[in-house]
Amino acid sequence: MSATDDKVEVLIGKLLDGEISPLEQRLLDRQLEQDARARALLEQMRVLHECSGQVVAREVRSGGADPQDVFERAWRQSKGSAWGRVVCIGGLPRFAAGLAAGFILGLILHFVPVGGSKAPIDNAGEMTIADAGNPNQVQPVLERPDSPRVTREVEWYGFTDQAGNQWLVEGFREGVATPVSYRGGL
Amino acid sequence: MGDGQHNELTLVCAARQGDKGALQTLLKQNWGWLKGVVYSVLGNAQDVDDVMQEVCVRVITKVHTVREPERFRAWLAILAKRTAIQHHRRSRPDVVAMEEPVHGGDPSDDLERRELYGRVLEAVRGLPPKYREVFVLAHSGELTYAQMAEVLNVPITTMQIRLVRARQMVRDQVAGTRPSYSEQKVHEI
Repeated sequence: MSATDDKVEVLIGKLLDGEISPLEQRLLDRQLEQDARARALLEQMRVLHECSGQVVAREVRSGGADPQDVFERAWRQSKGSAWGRVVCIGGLPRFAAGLAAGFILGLILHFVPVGGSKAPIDNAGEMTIADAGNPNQVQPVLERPDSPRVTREVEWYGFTDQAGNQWLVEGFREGVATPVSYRGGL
Repeated sequence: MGDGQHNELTLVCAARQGDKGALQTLLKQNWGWLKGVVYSVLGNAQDVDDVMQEVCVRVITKVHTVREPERFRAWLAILAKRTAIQHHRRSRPDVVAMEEPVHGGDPSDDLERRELYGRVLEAVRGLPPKYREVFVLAHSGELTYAQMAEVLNVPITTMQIRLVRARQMVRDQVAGTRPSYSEQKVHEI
């Protein structure tokens, strides 16, 4: 089939579908006047178009359930069971829900202390270190403060020496809160 | 923007807010061609009602996700196509019964006419889905070329070329000059 035949077929199709413009209509009319094959094609396509319309109408449009009934059933189905909808989620929403649940669980495990473990400060009283000067004598390095007034702070300092080495220095500071009394008139 | 389109836009906006009446009207307005899309995927009329029910459920539960109300038809077509494809995969029929046209008062009463009807039906069913879709939409007589292009999500020229090809295939099949097109490789347009 030539390009001209294709063009005529497009124009006939538009004519049958009611989409032809006045200019295209003039072109088609001229072609139909000149070409007997174009007239035969128009007749053939007209019959097929009519028949195709009937086929589609019968196959698709006519018969079947009433749209109103289908919609009502669908509405009841979709609004029926909220729990069912939750259980039936799948695909991406299911994956996202799993991810969120895992994240929440991770957060809980992070912040809730695991049973049996103790904070380092609680073990401080048991910590010992050998004295290099006297290997037989073992002295506690950290002693639990007797008085609750003792406060301890650990501070970290960054330090770069002349050679360009970087050091992280841990500073341990212990302070004792001394009770004071106010004497009026001073 | 025409009154009809403006009205549809208003309905879509109302439906997104959960307005049952608006949603019902929208589906009723688009019912014919929507069935055509489902039919095109399934290739037969047997399960169309079941799939339409599924489509309705999905529309009701997902209408709030429509981001561009002016492209509601395209959204609806994609949703219907996906639903039909999923249904088709679940229950792939091997043999489809050919239905005879109704007798009495029907122009297809005439024997020759009935024969032609059967051959056209067979040819339409044998079309590749992409061509069957455009053919069914064009002959449902509900949509303009521009609306068909919107539903198919292709440029209007592509839609026109597909329609011409589909008609040529049906014509050749009816004339008995070619084997079933479902078994042929058809160039992508």
